Amino acid sequence: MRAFALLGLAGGLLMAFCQWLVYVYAPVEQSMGMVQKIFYFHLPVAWWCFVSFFLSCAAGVLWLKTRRPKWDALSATAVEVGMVCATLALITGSIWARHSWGAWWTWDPRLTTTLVLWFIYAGYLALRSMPLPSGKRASMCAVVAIVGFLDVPLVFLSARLWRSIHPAVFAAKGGGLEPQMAVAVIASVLCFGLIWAALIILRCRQTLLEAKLNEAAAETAPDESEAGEN
Amino acid sequence: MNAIHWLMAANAALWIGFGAYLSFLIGKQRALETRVAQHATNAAPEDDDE
Amino acid sequence: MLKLALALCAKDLRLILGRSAGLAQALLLGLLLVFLFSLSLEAGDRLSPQAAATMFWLASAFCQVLVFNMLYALEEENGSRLGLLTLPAPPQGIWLGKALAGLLLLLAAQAVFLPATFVFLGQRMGESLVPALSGLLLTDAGMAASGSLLGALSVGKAGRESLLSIVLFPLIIPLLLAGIQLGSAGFNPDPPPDGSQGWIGLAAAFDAVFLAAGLALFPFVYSGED
Repeated sequence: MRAFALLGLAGGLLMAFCQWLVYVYAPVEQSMGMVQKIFYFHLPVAWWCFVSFFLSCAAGVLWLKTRRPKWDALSATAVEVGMVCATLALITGSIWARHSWGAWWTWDPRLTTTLVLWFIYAGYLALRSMPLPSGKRASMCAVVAIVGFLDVPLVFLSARLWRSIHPAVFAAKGGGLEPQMAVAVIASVLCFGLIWAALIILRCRQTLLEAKLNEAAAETAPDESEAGEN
Repeated sequence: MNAIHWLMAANAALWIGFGAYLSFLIGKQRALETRVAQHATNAAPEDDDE
Repeated sequence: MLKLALALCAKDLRLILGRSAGLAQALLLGLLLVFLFSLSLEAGDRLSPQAAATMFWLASAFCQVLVFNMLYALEEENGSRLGLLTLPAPPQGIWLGKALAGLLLLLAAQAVFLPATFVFLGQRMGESLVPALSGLLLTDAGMAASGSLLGALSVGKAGRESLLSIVLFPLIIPLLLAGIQLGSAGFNPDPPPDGSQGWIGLAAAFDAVFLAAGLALFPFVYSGED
């Protein structure tokens, strides 16, 4: 009970400090202006989205090897939280693109990869919601999580090749980061990471509890029907 | 809309998104608590019979 | 494993092609898609090679979903899935057999889609036929490997068939992009500016990844449980 509460609290406090870092400490970027500040939470959210999907793949492998319920719960939780992060990354990325380049969508390879991943794991969540026996559902979901993550480099490469043929009108985010910007970014990634970890732990506990309740309900149902016959 | 408005829109989207997910988690927690209470109630009468 | 795969492939092809309906449903769907899309053209208009290639591969992708649903439904009808699994051969042989059957059926369907694309979408033969054809084969191989692995998802109770499209389509996007680029080179009279090596390499990499994934993961997807 205490771990995720502490993580959440630490994340919240660090987030308050990050606001100062982002809006006061870090300088305003020369070419893009204030809108560039979106970068300080767009990047952490996108980063933890990819980490979530990697975690889901790893947990899927562990489920297939060991068949322990906690790995299935972790895999599903990681996909859920990853989808939240992916949605937010896409929305903030689009808003940034709309202001900077006048178009809501640019075929930027990283954003395109995030969108394709969003579709892949939306399919995972659809599969998860199907009424299947828990073991079979867990195995199928694990396979989709693994194959989905294996697809990531292929998607990224194909998006990059595609973009090179249709040269972008929009310039890529160029230039290095100034040291103050780097500090702000690293702090943001850390603080979103703390919040991410808290969400994962909490949701994983909920998923495991739900699985145990379902198992208990399935066990008592045949007992009740025997009692009815007696 | 100038730059500040876009920045605020992105911030708003981020926190509304996290808030929505937290509301979803709270809803799930309530449902789970109800089920746990029901499960405890179902288990109790069987103990009484014995 | 190869013996099982070839026997299974032959059995499935005989069953599907022997029936009057058989491949017809998948074929008709693809043809309809190509034709309906041609309605977006004015009379005498020509579609760009890339758009035509995209329609061809979309028709193939929907055909792929129907083909693999059909292939895996064959054992469900008689409840013979358990019999297949208890054969003294690695279950990956089932995956390979279904993939081979799916590949041949897909090629047969594409033999109809390709002329339809020329006719309805107003295309001409381009210069770079060799990369286009090798692209077609590599893409089809990737679609067969991935379709066979994930087709096993739709097995069992009804209502899961539509799930296959939702899960499969995003995964094959890199493959479709490669197929579209190589295909549009085949429709385009001008040679492609950057050459096709990158796309052929990508399609080959996809095939390798899904071949490995199929061999490793198939037993977990296709089991005796319902």
